Formats: sequence, C-alpha cells, structure tokens
Amino acid sequence: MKGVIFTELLEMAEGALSPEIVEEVIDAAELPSGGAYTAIGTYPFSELQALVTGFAARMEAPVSELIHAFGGHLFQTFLRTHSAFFTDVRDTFDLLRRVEDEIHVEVRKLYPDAELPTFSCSEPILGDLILEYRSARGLADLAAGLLDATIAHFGESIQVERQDLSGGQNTHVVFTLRRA
Amino acid sequence: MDTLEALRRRIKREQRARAEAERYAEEKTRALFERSRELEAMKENLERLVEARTAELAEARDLAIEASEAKTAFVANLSHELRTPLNAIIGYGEMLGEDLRALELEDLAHDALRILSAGNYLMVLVNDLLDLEKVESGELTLNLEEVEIEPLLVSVGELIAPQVEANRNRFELDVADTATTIRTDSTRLRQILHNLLSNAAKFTGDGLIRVESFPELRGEALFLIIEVKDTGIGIAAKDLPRIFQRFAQAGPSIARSFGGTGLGLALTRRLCQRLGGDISVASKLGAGSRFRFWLPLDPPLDA
Repeated sequence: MKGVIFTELLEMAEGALSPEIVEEVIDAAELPSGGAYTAIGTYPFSELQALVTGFAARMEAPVSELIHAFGGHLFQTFLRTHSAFFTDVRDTFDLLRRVEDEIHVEVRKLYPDAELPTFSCSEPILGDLILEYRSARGLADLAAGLLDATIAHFGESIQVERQDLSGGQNTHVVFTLRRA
Repeated sequence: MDTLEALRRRIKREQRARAEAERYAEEKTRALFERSRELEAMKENLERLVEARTAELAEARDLAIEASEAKTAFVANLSHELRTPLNAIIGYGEMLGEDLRALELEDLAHDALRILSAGNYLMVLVNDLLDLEKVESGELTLNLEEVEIEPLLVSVGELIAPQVEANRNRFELDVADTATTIRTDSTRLRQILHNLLSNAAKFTGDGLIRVESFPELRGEALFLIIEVKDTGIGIAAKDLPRIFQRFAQAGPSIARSFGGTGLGLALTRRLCQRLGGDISVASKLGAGSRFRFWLPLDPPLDA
C-alpha cells in the first residue's frame, strides 16, 4: 500500500482525535514500520487495517464509516496535490471515466509496483453511469467516500446506489450513479 | 499519554520517516544515474551504427553512379561505332540500288532496296537507343526557343504523309488559335510527334489520323495539350500499363506484323517528361488509340 495513504490517514486522525490518541493507537498496533511513514514508500496493507481498526474504536464509530470519511479526506488531498488531473474535467461522470484510462495509467508510470483497484465504467442508459469497483483489499467504502466527495465537489445532484457482489466482502461492488 | 510524550514519539517517527525517505531518494537517484549512463552508451552505439551504415550506403551509391556512367559511355561509344558503318551500308545500298536499276536489273535492285531499308531501320534503332540513354542519364541538353505551333505540326504532317497515304488513311489537323507559340525544344517536339504519328500511320488502315492542339489550365499552370488520335487496331487494356516501358510492345506478334523495336514510346515518354510534361494513352481494341501529351505554356519551361 502506498505511503501517502498512511500519512494522510494519520493526518486525518490527528484532526479528528488528537496527537496523543494517534500515538497511543500507533503504539498499541505494534506496527512493523513503527508508524514511520513516508509518502513515497510502500507498506503492508495489514498496517492500514490495524490503524483503521484502532482509530475507529477510539472514535466509537464503525470501521466502514471511518473508511468512508477517509475517502472524503483523500479526495481533498488529491485535489490539492494533483490539481493537473482536475483541470478540464467538467463533472463527476467526466472524472470517473478518466480514472482507469488516464489517472491510473499515470500512477503506474510513477509507481510500477502500485497495486491499484480497477474502476470500470459503463453507461448503458443515458444519464446513468455504472461504476464497477474491484480490489482484493475490499475498500469499497473508501471508493464510496471518494465518490460522494467528487459529487459534492462538482455540486451535482446524483443518487448513488451500491450493490455488493462479493457477499459483504466489499471486494466487488457495483455503484450505479443516477442523475436526479 | 501526555502531550509531551506524544510529541516526543511523533518527532522520533518523523525522524525515522525522513531517514527512510532520504534512503529512498538516494536509491532512486542512483538508479536514474545508472539508467542515464546506459542510455548514453546506447546513444553512442547507435551513432556508430548510423555512421557505419551511412558510409556503406555512400559507397554503394558511388559504385552505382560509376556503373551508370560507365554504361552511358559504353552505349554512346557503341552507338557512334555502329553509326559509321551503318552510314556506309545505307549510302552504298542506295547507290547500288540506283546503279542496278539503271542497268535494268530489277531483281537485284530489289535486293539492294532490302539492304537499304534494313540499314535505315537499324539507324532509327541506334538513334533511339542513344537518345533514351541521354535522357535517362540527364545528358540531353535542350535548345529552348519560341516555337510556332501550327507550322511545326503542318511540317511534321507533311513529312509523315507518305506513310499515312501508304495505308490509305486521311490526316486532319486542328490547332486552337488560343495557343500559337510555345517555348520548347523544336527538334525534340518534332521527334515526339513523328514517333506518335508514324505509330498511328503504321497501326491504322483506311482510317483517320487526327491531331489536335489546345491550351488547358491545370491548377495554377497552363499547358499545351497535343492529341494524336487514330481509328486503328487499338491496344488491349492489359497491355496499356506496359506500353511506355522499353521493349514493351503490345505483344510479340506486333513486332512481326508491324516492325518497330519497342523503344519509340519509351523514348517519347522520356522526351515529354524532359520537356516538362508527360504523356497518357487511352485506347480500345479494334476502335483506335488516343495519345495525349502536354507541355508547359505558362509558366514556360526553364532550362
């Protein structure tokens, strides 16, 4: 998992909880890396799971809710650090269509070892966009958080329907976006 | 955990992260350095390859030029060597024919005439070959002058009249008065017309041979179009693409029935191109042929 995910998670947690609690969670999780993350490094996915679980417990919120909120946080980060991907983008559908063919292509150029989720888009009905999320990591909640933040960013009115095809594993989820 | 402890731990974490980032950056920098050295080596290797290949090609080109020059010189010498005895054969054949006729030895005079016509045929062949060689090697120099179109067409028509009449053909000439002169090489223009008209006369019997000349605008440039049409035997569609190639008559039987070497049209086309134009042909088997060539009027041909 790319380091930027960890550094951003810690940043969000510090804001939502406190530096003291963040250190306590890191300490309790007994991470191989000791929590010394750099944005350009790569770290085990299990560390992310441990941290998310720890933070959710301290917030007294479900893990899924925390991951969803983290999706919103990440969107703002991407908007700030990768603004080039957002110029010329008209709306939510426009951005989603570019994720697989443009954004992930660029990410792979920079990080050939990155293990990215796949987002395939199809538009069988005018005004609807079907986004199929697939990832062994089961972070469909993160995808949902990114989606909601995207819609809010463009100030659009779009309904999102979510259907888990992986029996609650969140590894294969179909999002149907319908313009209201 | 109190705030101080938390900050202390955080600083420690940040220090370790920084050390790791530095190590990572150094690793990447070294990899980049190695890669750029490899690229540099590849570039140098490529440059060496290109240089070697360029030298090879230059050598091949020089050899080809040398060979082509040697061939041109050989053909020119050979043609000259052939023409001297040919002139003797033709001259003495003619004299012999006249002497035998004066002695009323008609059978022998007829044989002498055969020597004469074979000699004339060989002379045309040698001349065409020499001209073709000159055009192709770029050694044909042009004498450009302002040429009056109609008188030139009329005089070529008169020259060819015996051949036209021999096959009981009619000859028509139609010159548009919108183009009266052209800057070109009159000798070469005559040669082109003579070739086309003698072909037309040869392959047409009891028919019509018609020459038309008129100006035509193509894009920004004005051309003089000259068409030679006949109502002769025509050319099969399958033979049309080869007709302007050397020694490519429309089938071997043509040479037997009509004579000719298959050099005439190849030379005609090269001459048209050398005069700044080109030639095209349209034909229908049994109905006739139309040869159409064009030369630049405006802007005029520049030597």
